[in-house]
Amino acid sequence: MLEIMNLTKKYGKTLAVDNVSFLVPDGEIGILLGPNGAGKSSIIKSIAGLVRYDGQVKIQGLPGKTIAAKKVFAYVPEIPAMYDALTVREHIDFILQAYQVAATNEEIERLLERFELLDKQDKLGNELSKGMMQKVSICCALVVKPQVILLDEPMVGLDPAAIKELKAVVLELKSQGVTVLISTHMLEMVKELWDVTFVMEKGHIIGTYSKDMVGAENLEDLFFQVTSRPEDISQDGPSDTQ
Amino acid sequence: MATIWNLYKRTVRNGIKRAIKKPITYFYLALILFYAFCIPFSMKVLLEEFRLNTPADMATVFTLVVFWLLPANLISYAKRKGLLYKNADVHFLFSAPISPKMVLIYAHLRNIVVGIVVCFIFLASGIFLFHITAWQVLAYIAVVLIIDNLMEGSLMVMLYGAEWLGEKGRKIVIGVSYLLLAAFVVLAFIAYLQDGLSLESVVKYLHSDGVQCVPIVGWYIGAIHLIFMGPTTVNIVVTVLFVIFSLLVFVIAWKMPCSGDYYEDAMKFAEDYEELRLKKLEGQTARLGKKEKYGKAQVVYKGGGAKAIFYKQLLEYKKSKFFFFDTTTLIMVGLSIFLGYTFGTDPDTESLREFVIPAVMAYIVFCMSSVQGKWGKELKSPYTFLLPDTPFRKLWYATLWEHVKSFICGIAIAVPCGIILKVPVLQIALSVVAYVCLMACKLYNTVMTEALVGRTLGNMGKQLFQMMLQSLVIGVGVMGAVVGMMIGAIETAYIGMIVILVLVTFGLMTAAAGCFQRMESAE
Repeated sequence: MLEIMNLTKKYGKTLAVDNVSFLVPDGEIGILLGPNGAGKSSIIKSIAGLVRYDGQVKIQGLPGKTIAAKKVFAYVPEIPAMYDALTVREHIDFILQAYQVAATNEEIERLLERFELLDKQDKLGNELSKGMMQKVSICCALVVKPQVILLDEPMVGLDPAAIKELKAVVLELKSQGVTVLISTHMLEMVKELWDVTFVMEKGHIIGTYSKDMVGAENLEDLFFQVTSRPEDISQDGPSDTQ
Repeated sequence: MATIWNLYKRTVRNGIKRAIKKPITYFYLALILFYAFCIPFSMKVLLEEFRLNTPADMATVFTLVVFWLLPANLISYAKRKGLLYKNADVHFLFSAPISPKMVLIYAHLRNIVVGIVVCFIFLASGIFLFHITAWQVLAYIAVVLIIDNLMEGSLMVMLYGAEWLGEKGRKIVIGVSYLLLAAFVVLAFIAYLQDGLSLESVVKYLHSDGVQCVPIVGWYIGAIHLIFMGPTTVNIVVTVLFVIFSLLVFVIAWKMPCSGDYYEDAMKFAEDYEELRLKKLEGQTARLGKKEKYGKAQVVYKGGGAKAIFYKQLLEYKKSKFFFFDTTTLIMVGLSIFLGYTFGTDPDTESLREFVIPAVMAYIVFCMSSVQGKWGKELKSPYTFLLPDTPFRKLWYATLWEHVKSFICGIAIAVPCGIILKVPVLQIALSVVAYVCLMACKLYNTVMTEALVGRTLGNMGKQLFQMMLQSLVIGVGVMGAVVGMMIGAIETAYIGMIVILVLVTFGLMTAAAGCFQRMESAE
């Protein structure tokens, strides 16, 4: 379960997130939607413990910045960055040690195989394309078997096969009871995944929708109803950065 | 600890593996070995000649090093800017279940390793050059390797990680650090009033009790004095204070809670540093964390094709605060005035006055690294290659403003100095033209170097290649000047040089334009 309570984030005098609260229950997929500058990235970075904030973040009931919470949490940033001098496999080994998680060679190879990285495990970080880095980043997040996972624009830079695989992985995680939060612009990419959607604008959540509540209504229509600015978002538009 | 140590080990191991595959590594290694062999022996002769080879002289050298490094380190830690994280650290380390204090130690590991290497270099120099004794070696290791690392590491953890300190507290620490520096300045001023300025007075100041009494930095200097110069009441007291302070900050750093609030600042610093690194790799100027501010401006585009690049650059310059003037222009004016007065007031150098301006210009052209201005960006932009015009015109209009800048810079160097030295107006004018030609050659050399060896050589290799080309150009220019000098006076020498350089520039420009048929050659 991921709980955000009264989260406020300021950059100097600029208020990026204003007293936001929401909850993604166990085994559900939450989507964070919003136009550029809505505050999505600030929320994501706050949950991942990368920025200072006021309010509370709880991961499986534990305060977000504690080591215990971080052990059950995984994060895929919008822009992946690799260690130049480490190979793909060494990135995985490092993450396993950092999270103190055991994984068999077969498990690791199966994961790499799913994202077409098996033959690239000996490639160094500085030899990878952006798409490959994103795949490595996803593998690193999955290998620790998290209970809560945060994906910031995960589809950007991925090829169609990887997008299909990632969607399958997300649904598998859901079936295993993992809590997933995805921040994205690409409504089309998440329409078959979502359980609960939070629509953000100007640092506030202006609409919360659960799949049970809206029935057959289209996610895109819902979004435009509340934001009333269809030009702010595209189905494969640019990513949000704060 | 095992996690970050393994990460560090693997990074270093793979880095070495990668380095040994590059031929340039062996060149650097040979250079280091050469210096490691030559410097100690030449230093030994020099120090013996000036009788500066005692342990007390080692204390002087070490005091200077402490002055240079420690206050700067403390201030940067308090500003949360002393540790360098990569974007990969932000991605993998900051969100991982690793104690934020360990993440700090990980970044500090690089400093510690460099510190240990420097410490052993000092130690070897101490034994070989300053004849320090065995117990001094042991005491040095204890103080520099153990206590200093303990103190600096703990202070770093405290200043970065202490969330209770808050923004205001951190500002107070920065203020106190500057006060410590101010104390040294005040003491130096008093010493200057008492003893004047000489090598002896500086050494006396560095060994003074007052310096050793300044908290933290001075205490460390006191401990060094105790080791190398023998005990005094002051250095014993401050050494004890230094040890107590080190232990105290260690305990505070160990006990205090830290949840990683500093990640935000470290992340920002990592982004800024990466941006700076990339800009420097591209040969551009940039300041850490400073984004250039632009005002509003307009231009009217005249003509078409590649000429649009010229007007676009004009628009960019008009939006800049100081057009295309920067600190370099001021430095050039300052240097010109300084040289003018230096040579103008010394009767011994009267016969050399006419050669001051060309010598300074040649030095700037040859020795100062070339900064890629806006033209560098143009040549990396796909639009430049897509523009419907000839490569020659594209290169000309992309670099035209650089020639104007060279002209202004030439005036800044030549005019003040020329007026003070009473150099004839024609000579000043000709020297400015010669400077513009030399800078143009340098610019097109850079383009040629990038196109010819940009993909095969590293930055250092490229610079050496460029210097080689540039020395050829200057050599040819000098030959023109010699021929001109033989025909007439210094004015004809300038004209001879300019004629030759214009021809060379045109040749280089044509060749460089030929290299830029495809974008591939600019990458």
